[in-house]
Amino acid sequence: MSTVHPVDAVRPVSAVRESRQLGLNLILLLAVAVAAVFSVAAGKVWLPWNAWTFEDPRWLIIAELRIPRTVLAMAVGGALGLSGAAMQGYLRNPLADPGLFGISSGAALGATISLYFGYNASALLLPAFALFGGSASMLLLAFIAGRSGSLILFALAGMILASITGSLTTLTISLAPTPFVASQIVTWLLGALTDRSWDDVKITLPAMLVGAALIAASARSLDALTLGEQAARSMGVDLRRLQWLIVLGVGLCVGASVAAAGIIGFVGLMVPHMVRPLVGGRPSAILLPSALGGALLLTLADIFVRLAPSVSELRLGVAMSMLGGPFFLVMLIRMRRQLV
Amino acid sequence: MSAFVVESLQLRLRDRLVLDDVSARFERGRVTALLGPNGAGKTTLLGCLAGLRKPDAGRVRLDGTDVTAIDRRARARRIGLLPQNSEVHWDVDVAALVALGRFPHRGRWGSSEADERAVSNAMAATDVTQFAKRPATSLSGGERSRVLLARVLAGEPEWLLADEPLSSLDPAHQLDVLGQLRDVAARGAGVIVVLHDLGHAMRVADDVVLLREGRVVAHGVRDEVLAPAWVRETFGIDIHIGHAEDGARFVVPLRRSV
Repeated sequence: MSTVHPVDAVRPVSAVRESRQLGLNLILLLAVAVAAVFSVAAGKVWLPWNAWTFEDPRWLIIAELRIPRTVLAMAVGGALGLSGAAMQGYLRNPLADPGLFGISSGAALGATISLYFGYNASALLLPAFALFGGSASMLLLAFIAGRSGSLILFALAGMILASITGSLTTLTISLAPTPFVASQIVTWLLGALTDRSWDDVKITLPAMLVGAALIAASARSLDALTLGEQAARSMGVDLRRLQWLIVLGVGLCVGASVAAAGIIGFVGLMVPHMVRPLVGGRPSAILLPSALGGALLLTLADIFVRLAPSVSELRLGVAMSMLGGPFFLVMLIRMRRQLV
Repeated sequence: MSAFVVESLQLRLRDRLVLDDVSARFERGRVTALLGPNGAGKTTLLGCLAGLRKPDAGRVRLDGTDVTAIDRRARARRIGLLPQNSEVHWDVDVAALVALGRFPHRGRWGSSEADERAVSNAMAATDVTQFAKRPATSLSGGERSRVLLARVLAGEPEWLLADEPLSSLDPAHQLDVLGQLRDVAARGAGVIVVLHDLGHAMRVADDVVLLREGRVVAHGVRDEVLAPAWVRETFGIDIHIGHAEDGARFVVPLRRSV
């Protein structure tokens, strides 16, 4: 028997864990705030402090372009980071990512179909189609692979889902009624936050907030799932309720993100991975820092694409893939021993 | 006396009758071992007792109430299940892992004094307090089994259902876990444990249920049930029962019966 009084040995461990979590969240919050200020100032036209007043004519750029764009970058990044963390916790799988495994492409397929039919004339239909596509993909993925928690089954199911929805999207493009619609779809698919307005914020942000609330409600159940499904059920977790929280939460977050910015991959994969070692493995502890980290990452990336020297603006989705691809590769190499 | 009563349980999985007219009674304060060949329905029976499986016919009553009718969280507070495949998916520290055992007790906002006390008591009882800070994935098989047992004990259940808690343990740790099961029963909880080894059952159990192909072969106090005739009918083997120096009975499998 240990000589340490048991309570004295256990309490400091949880206290250290909690203060670390709080510290990380505060640092990330501060970083997001700083990045947001930069994001409003940065672009083809630099906006120094003295432009930040109502009287200045440049205020129009700030109020109507830069602020909504910044808000969307934070919201989309946060929603994707949170969705990735939730998917990883639910599927007990560190490789889960909404972009990589078909959720984003499902949402994109929905959006593409609405563009095909010219539904973008109504501001609500494209997001609605995207939300439906995202949720349906997440449901399918959870149905095929969610129950077993097997890494290989999940990865294969996700890849196949991504490939099917991808080819259906391509089919839609090839059947596009006019070249204009085809180019509209392609440009949109590349993922960007260029020329977004408050209208985009108004439509997509509420969906993301509802999705985030659903995911937050699942947090404790995700912790119990650390011990596997049977143990979680014996601990009183309602697995059906949990599945719906995750499916709808991720579907709303990812669907709204895709509706706002097209396909932006890897945020949900990278961010949870970076924060996990800092706060310990508990899925619930990773949710908030993943959301904040996602917001930070995407805001910074969006500043970068605006400032990168190129003729036309670098697409955000392309930039994130160029960053995320190598990251994923390094992760796979590190996990190789475990996977084989 | 509080009791778990199983009444003519029947359960079919696909086309196979996994449990066929199973009746049994389990008492608190006692250790009951479930024994039987592979595929006898032991794990399935445990699932029914935990309220996680609904039988096709028959009933499981906990103090008179149908166990599947008890509210999910209330049931989780009363019945602790230690599943056979001890998965730990994330690199959480041992203290956090054991604290998961308080899941059905915890309110929405964090843990109480009682939660902390239960967690530290469970860790002390299984002798894992010194691992509190260590990540779960760094534990050896034996350490991990003890930590997972601590997780269930932290819930302070009235009933502990354990599915082969001794697999992957060396003999010394097997004895430790058997001792911990006895301690749990001594504190007044009921222990129902699936075992593979007749010797372990002889050592730990007060009562024994022998299952074969989904049916109860024998059910009663250990010394009556772990007798050559019943064991032959259940496992198809002959056994020798001897007495150790300290007077305890032990059992040795001899051969397949002819």
